[in-house]
Amino acid sequence: MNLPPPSILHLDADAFYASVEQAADSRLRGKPIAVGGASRGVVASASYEARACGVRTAMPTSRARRLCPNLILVPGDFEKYERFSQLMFAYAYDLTPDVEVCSIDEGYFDLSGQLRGHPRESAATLARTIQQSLKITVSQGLATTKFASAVASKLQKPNSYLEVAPGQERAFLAPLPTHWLPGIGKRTEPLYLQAGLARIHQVADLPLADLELLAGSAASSLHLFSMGIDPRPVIPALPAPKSVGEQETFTTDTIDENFALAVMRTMVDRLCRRLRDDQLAARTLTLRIRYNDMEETMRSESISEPSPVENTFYPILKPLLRRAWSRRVSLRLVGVRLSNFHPALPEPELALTGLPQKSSTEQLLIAEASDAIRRRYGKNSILRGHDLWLRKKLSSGEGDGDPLPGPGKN
Amino acid sequence: MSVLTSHPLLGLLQEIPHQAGRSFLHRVDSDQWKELGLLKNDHLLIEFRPLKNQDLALVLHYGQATLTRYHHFPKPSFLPPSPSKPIPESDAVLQGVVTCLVRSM
Repeated sequence: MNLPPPSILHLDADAFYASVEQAADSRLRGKPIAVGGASRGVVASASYEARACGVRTAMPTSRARRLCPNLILVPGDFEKYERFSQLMFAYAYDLTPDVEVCSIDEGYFDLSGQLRGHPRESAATLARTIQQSLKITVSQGLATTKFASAVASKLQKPNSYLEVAPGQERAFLAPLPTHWLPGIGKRTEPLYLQAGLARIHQVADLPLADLELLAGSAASSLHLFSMGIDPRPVIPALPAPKSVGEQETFTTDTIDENFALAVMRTMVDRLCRRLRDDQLAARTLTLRIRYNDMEETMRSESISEPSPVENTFYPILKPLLRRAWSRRVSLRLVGVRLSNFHPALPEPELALTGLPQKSSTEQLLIAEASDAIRRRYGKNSILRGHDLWLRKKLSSGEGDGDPLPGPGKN
Repeated sequence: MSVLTSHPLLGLLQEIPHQAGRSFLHRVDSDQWKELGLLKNDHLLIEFRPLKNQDLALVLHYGQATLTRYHHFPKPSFLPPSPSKPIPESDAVLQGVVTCLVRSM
């Protein structure tokens, strides 16, 4: 029987941030470089020259420097990475309109509509064009399913191409360690190892009822993945939202700057929780206000390094509000939006102590601990100062719209 | 130079046919590109497309965004404003080609 050729291509840029820095500055090419260290003191991306010395993503920069004394540390320029990502995916749109951008450096393309040639020729053209014009390399996997193509793109990095023949998906995945399965990471892998499930074929051979004891509700999809079955189509759009936002219309208009700020802080809290749940970090905060005469103003500001922690955004809220609130008119609505998403940086391998960047790492740990408490005991089980202030204000009847001192605008 | 997110002429510029994801707006923030015909505060629509001889190209060189004139002959290179030396094509990475200039008079 003649099976159709594999048509789902997964593209994964190699050491993306570091490669972009090397492309942008020819003096860095061929040298061990690492991007990061600005606030959290961890490596966000390491070039393959640095990886050869043992430098890894999420490693504290102090340890990276010890391992690789010649390491060149470059601060992250996320605007540049976003531009390169945009240009990289622009080439993919030349091949097919069915492009699913998963993150800044990864995407799926459905090439089944291709009229001429084998999809592998298109994949080769795409990789060559990206390398020639953007001077970065990509790794690609071609298969009949999204999962198999994603694994294929990551198995032989960098600058690799791996094709899984139709009907061979299960055989291809079978010998791989269990941690290649979605949802099995550093924390959960030991459970599978203890259960004697070191390889994917062992998960595939396990009765579903037994797998449910380990994986719970995720067992059935995990079982399908382990057997090389993945019915998910390529969705030609961004699967994740480009931004997350909230807005609130006050019961009565307000002139109280502190009240507006507290409301916006609670919005930022909730939005950052959503980001952490999705393993994302945002770089841009946009604030929107609506005056009582319905005129609207928006102001945005980007932080230098993406963050999933609300504390990072608090300091820019007040100046942004003051820039936006230029008229001496009461507010009817405020809104906050976070955008320019990047994958959240994994936790550092070692706890950081005595470093200036300790606080931001600690902030993330505190935020994640708070999230865990809220998940277990309810969303009001742990509150911030502004939450308590708002509660007190609202319960005392001073809610929005109370005639407190004016919004100290400059 | 900086990426433009708001400008009085943004609506007009967005009317110009261009491919989303391949085009962006830039503001010239100094007079150093006068000899390329660009003045401070000019706004440029930059498109990412294959280079042609004499294109006005925005490239990244030594980490800096630089406007250059592309010369295909005798060797592919980018010519920045003098006194800077020509940049071999392999040393820089293209960000796009200027396709439209907007100058507020």
